[in-house]
Amino acid sequence: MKRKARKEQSAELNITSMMDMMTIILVFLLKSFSASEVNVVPSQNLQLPNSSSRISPEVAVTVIVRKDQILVDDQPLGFTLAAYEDPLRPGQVLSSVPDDQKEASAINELFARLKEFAAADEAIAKKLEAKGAKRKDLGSGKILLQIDKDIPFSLVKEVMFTAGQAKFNKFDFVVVRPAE
Amino acid sequence: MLKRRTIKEDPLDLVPIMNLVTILIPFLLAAIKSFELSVIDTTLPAISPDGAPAKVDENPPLSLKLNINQFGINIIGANKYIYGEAGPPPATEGAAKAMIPCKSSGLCRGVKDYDWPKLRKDLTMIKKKAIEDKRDSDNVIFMPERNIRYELIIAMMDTSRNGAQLLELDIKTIDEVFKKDKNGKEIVVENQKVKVPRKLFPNVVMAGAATVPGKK
Repeated sequence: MKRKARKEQSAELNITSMMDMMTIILVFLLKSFSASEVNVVPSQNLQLPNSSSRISPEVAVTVIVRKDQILVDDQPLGFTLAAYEDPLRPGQVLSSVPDDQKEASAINELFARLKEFAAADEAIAKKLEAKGAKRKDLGSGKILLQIDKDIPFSLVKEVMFTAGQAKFNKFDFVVVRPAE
Repeated sequence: MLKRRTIKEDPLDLVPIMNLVTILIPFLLAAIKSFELSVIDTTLPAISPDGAPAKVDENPPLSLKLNINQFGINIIGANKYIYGEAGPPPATEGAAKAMIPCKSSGLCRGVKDYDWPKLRKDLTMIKKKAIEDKRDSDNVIFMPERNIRYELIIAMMDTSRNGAQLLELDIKTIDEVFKKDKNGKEIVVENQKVKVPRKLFPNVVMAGAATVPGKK
């Protein structure tokens, strides 16, 4: 028995060099670690514009306007955006809300979705107020807008108008800060 | 009776550390930031429900408006500061279709076609004169045309909010922008690293998208 065991003993794997490598990688990964609470999934349909703004984003209800659809809190609305040709740049397309989705310039589904969030916010605010918090410190009514850089102002305005109707009146436009 | 063994020097067992690091790496890779995000904060003007007049400030506000279209950018509501008491020159045939026409002297197609430095300079001048006039001048109303892309609106916000920062000027006071040499000629301060970011018109208001304050 004893003899057999000795026979199976093999040379140990020397992982010291791998360990060196990992330690160096670890340092670089830690350096580029992002603690930001707001996440953006970039894609062909969502390219954020550049800006020199230096205000860090805070968590709020997120409305994403992509070239093809609108998402509220990562849940897409039940319609896709229609495309029309940009009169200023022939061959390029701009997005718009399909005509059958418009009603009194407010996009119904977006409005309904935002209204739910506004109601939830309001409920929390009421509870906090009952516990003695001041209303102005509660700071709701804020919305994070992630809009593709090629979205025309007409659509941006419609989204903002709809949000305004649902009692969101503070807008944070999410932008990319170019690397220095 | 056990026979006392000779102490053999084992190499340091790094395997547990290795395990830890290997687990850490995917998590750190997931949290990597390839770009830095920031926000531009704006508010909607609230329409008061009972039509109550807004409170009258001691300093009359400057209602500056910026219109951007395919021909360029128009500054509205500050003619007195731009043209003086005489007012704007009469429209002539063949004149530029915008106050700040495109660089390419035609239609603007991209962000680079618009004359941002001129807009920044004009706005800085308006800000300076508005401060001298003791008028509230933190607000600017944006009135873009419907086909103007979001990218251009953001670029205009950048210019109107912190004009100095965009061009990386080293400007500590507005007077420095209009520094003059011995002959009274304006010196253009340009291409210096920014130290103090200047705010021109920090509050951006979007035209045509108002909020109705609901009943509590």
